Amino acid sequence: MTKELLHTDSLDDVVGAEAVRPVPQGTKVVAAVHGGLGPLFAAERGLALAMRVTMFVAMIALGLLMAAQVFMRYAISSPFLGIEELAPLLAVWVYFIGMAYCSRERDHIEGGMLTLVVKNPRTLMAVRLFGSVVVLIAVVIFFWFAWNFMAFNYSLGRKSTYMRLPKVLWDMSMIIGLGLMVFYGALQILAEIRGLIALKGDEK
Amino acid sequence: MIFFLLAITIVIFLLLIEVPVGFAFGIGALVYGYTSGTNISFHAGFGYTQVSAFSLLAIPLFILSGTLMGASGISDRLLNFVNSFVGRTKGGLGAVTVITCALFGAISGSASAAIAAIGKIMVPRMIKEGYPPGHATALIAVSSVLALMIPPSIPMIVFAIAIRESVAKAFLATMGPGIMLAIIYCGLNFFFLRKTTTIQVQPKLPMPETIRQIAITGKQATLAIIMPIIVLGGIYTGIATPTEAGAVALVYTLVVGILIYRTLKFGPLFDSTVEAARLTGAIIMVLFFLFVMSRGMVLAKVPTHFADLLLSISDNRIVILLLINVLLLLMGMIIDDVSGSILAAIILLPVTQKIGLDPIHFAAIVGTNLGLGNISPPCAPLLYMAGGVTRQPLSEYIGPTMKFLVLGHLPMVFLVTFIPELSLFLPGLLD
Repeated sequence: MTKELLHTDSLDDVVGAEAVRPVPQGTKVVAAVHGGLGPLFAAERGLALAMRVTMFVAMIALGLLMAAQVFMRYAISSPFLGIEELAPLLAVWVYFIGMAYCSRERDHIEGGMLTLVVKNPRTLMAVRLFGSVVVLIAVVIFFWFAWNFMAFNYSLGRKSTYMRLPKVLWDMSMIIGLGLMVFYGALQILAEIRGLIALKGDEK
Repeated sequence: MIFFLLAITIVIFLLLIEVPVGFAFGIGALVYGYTSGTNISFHAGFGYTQVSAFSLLAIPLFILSGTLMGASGISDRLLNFVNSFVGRTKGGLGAVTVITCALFGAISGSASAAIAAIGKIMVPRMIKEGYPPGHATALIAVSSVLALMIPPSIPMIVFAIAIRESVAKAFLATMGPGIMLAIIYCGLNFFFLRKTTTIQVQPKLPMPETIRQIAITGKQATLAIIMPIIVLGGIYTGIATPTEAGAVALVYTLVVGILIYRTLKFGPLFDSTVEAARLTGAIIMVLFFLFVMSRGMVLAKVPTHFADLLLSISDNRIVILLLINVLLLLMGMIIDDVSGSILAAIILLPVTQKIGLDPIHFAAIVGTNLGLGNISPPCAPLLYMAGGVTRQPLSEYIGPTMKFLVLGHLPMVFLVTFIPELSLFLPGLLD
């Protein structure tokens, strides 16, 4: 429902090689949104690949680790307590990188009725830009909270109970995840502003 | 309370302009903290601690095993199996859609995955055989909710953790109503199509041939049908916790997909795993910000004030239950099922405790209501997704959908609310 204009299925569609829908291919709007940002998006694609690999490795490792836990408990009656620390460690990396990847794909859970009510493309884009700016401000504030949380844990030198691993390994997932969400939020706003300006120019 | 109402108003406004649910609650928490003078900076740590809980690991594991089962081509095998029973009767394909959604829910627990996997195959097939397109789209939308009610159900995992109750019991609370709803939808499907003359039904096979078809398709689908038995059997015999059962389901899926079906190559495995991680991230983000906001609400005693407010309207149990249903329905119409279950747990639990409602019965009421909300306009994510998959305009399927909801799901909500045995019988077997 919300993927019809700037909020398309993936950032590749929004600001990459594909068009800003429903503006037709080859218009000034597409050129204005994409123009001069090639190197940035080439680097972004590398970043997205790194996120996908991280999620894949962490997710599969999490499943196998938990299955190993069941096997060790029931087949050889010797549970390894470290798994109960390692599994949440892998999980929080899946969670926060997954969240950031959702920001990249513009695929967070959402409801709303904006697209049902507002039909004017410029109004729609302006309201979405407002939403994106508010979201970015909130994510920056939560990033700051998360940073303080990690710094506090670091200052205490906290370690996990069984494996004695530094707690920072867990906390970093939140910092990197929220940091990536700030990056993608800013990128989305940039695309939306350029799209809005170009659409206004086209109408003139 | 006034600051909370202000925050909630802002949250609703942001939801309506299609700000993602998680962010809307995050902003609500910030507004609440700023206006009430509450220091919420440490709440980020609280939200983080809550989402990193060991018990929540069941969510990524069930999502991944469900996604991988879908990528293994399981939906085709399930469809063929169910189709061999009722596919050659008038309205039979509709019944196949409903039953396969229920079975798919027992494997994946995801309503959107059911729409994508079953809808893409069944809706074109139904339309080709003369089903009204609006009926076909409405049927896949309403049937997808069965995946939320039949375990493993992600909203029920979250809800049980939030109210500190057994996940296994919460799973079973919505299972009975889910099965009953599947039967009702099958019946309504046949009833609505009784006068439709456009449907072409494939000629009936002789009984021996029908039995042979059931045996062949059943053999092909056996490994898929066994999976929920292993998972639920493991949980309810006490051999595995829901989290461990999720891990067993994942390993089983990998073995079946890679070694037995041989349909799960590295490319689909990689893509499906990334997709599962993305879905998990989307759900956990909502939970993270909801936990942050809920912490502020609990500290401000908002749930207690809300309970007092409801009880000031009436102390009659039936009236309170009706009010709870209305609130849950409205909640489900605005937000997704996972957020709804957390909010219901936080805001409505005190009032249910005051009227002596069994928490597992409350779980069933929440699960059944939020499913209804997710397909009720104006904000009906599952309904619109079904329309997107089948490429039908809303005007085409909104009428048939409302008929299914009013004659099927709504009565089920009332049955679950006022006949506790419907939802408490199966969980009671665990005691």
